[in-house]
Amino acid sequence: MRKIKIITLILVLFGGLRIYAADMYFATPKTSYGVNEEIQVALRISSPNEKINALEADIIFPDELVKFVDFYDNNSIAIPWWERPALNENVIHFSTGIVGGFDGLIDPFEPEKKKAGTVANFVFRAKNEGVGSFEIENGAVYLHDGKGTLGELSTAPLSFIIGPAITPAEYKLLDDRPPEPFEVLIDHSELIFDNQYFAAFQAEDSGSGIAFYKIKEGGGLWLPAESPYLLRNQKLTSVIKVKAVDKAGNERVMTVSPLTSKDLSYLWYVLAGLLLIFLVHLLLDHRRKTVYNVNVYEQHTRSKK
Amino acid sequence: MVEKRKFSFFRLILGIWIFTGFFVLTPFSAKAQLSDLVSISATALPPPRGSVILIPSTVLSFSGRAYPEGRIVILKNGQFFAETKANRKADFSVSLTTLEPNNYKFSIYGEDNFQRRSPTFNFDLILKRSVTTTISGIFLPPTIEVDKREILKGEKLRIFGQTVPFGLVTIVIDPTLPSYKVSADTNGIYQYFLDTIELDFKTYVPILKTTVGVVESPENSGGDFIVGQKTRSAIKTCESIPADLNCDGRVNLIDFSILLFWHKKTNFPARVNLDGYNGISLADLSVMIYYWSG
Repeated sequence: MRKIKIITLILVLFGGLRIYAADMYFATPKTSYGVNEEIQVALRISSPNEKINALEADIIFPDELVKFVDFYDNNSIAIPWWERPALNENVIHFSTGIVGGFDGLIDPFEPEKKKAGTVANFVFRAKNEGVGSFEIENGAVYLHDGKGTLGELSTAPLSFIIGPAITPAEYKLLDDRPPEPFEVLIDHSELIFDNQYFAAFQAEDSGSGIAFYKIKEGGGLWLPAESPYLLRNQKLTSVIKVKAVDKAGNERVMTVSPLTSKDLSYLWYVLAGLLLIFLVHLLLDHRRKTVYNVNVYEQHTRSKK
Repeated sequence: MVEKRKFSFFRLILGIWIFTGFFVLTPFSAKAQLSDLVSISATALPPPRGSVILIPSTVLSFSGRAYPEGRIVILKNGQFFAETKANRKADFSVSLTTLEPNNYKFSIYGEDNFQRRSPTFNFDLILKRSVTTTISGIFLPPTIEVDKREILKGEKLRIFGQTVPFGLVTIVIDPTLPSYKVSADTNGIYQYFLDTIELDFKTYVPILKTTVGVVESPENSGGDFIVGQKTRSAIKTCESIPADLNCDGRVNLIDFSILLFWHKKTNFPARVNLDGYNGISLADLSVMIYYWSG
């Protein structure tokens, strides 16, 4: 009896009240599918007790039952991606930051209730009948404390059943809007690319998410690009264009003149200098003309005499 | 007799739950109360009447108090999105109308007349079509600067900054010491000369807040100083913000790009290793995001 009490006490102290920084889990509209059907799985994170600002995980799926199709990050809290979701056999690995930290989404109609955020929506296609599960392994969250502290994370798998083949409903991605306008920053630093100029950019798309970027310097070709991008024209004499393309093919092109506000301020100094020279020149010219006029007047007076 | 003991055991269990619930969970509730000043509300637009078709819009507005004629910057998902200026009374209001319905992280910070920044306040919002979301009651805390990084014990340290006009600034140097109060002038400028004779030889991080009537701003901490054997002026260096890798006074996409460049590489510069441990990893990104200013 005494032992039971001690065990209960330990469970109460260290088990029952254990508070995790975050919970990572899957959410699907249903758990029963037919072969050929599309399976949409949202990976969610809730963190009501502590603010987190980075997370990573491996998503394991039974590749004998389902095939990974794609992922969408159009409503994701994952900004900026550190490693975008990438497939390796039956494992999808990702890691991301959450700028500003995260402790729950606020619905303005119910501001007191914080909601879980979506990391990404993963799309699979059922290929064989059977019972399986999506699992999360190697999950980690970091607290928003400026020290890179690991927080405690609880994860939960999601079981599903795949039955006989059905004629799958056609899901069409409805996205006719281009990515949102985004910043393209040009800079150089001794910490990267041997202090050469590079471009940094990151676009967002609320419809389907960003698929890829392209860059064009001056009259050059559009080239595939990732941020940070080492500029070819290190003299910064050409206009730089960055194109963000979403997963539905919509494009947004941002143009940046490499002249920074710092450079422009130098330009102002140059203009002010030129203006000063011009004024001095005008003044001297005016004085010269005055002296000339005096001489002319004197000559004129003398000739009259 | 046995029953009595059983009862006391379960009472003990109940007591532990209540004790833990009160002392462990209360700080989270307190955190929520800290932001009670800020009110978040939503108004749905009525459906269009008759044959006039209105394009439904998603509107987000922010309002509150900052610094007289101070700059208010709004970031969307960590990048610059909009800015406005507070009036002479330090009140500001801004409406954003070009948003698509989605989930967004909005961050807001203020910059006083001397380019000193407030802390950044973040809101993870679900914005819906035809809904006006209003975030009001934002009260940015006082900005902080000190004139010395290290001070000889006994000398006076000047703590100064800006807040709302005539705001009462409370300065806490150490929780064990009494707080100091000073009123801001018509321009919201305050200063306090702190006598360091009673202070120990150690580092102090002042914590400040402003009170106007019964309304208190959140706290701001900064302007740390050392009470030591000599006096050194406070000079802003590149290392003032740990994650500001390109030394431009901001932590943004450029710094992120530099960090990302060194991910999984070995010969990285020491300055890039933000958490001080081996390799450039997600932990370094976590440190950088903490200091993110957009």
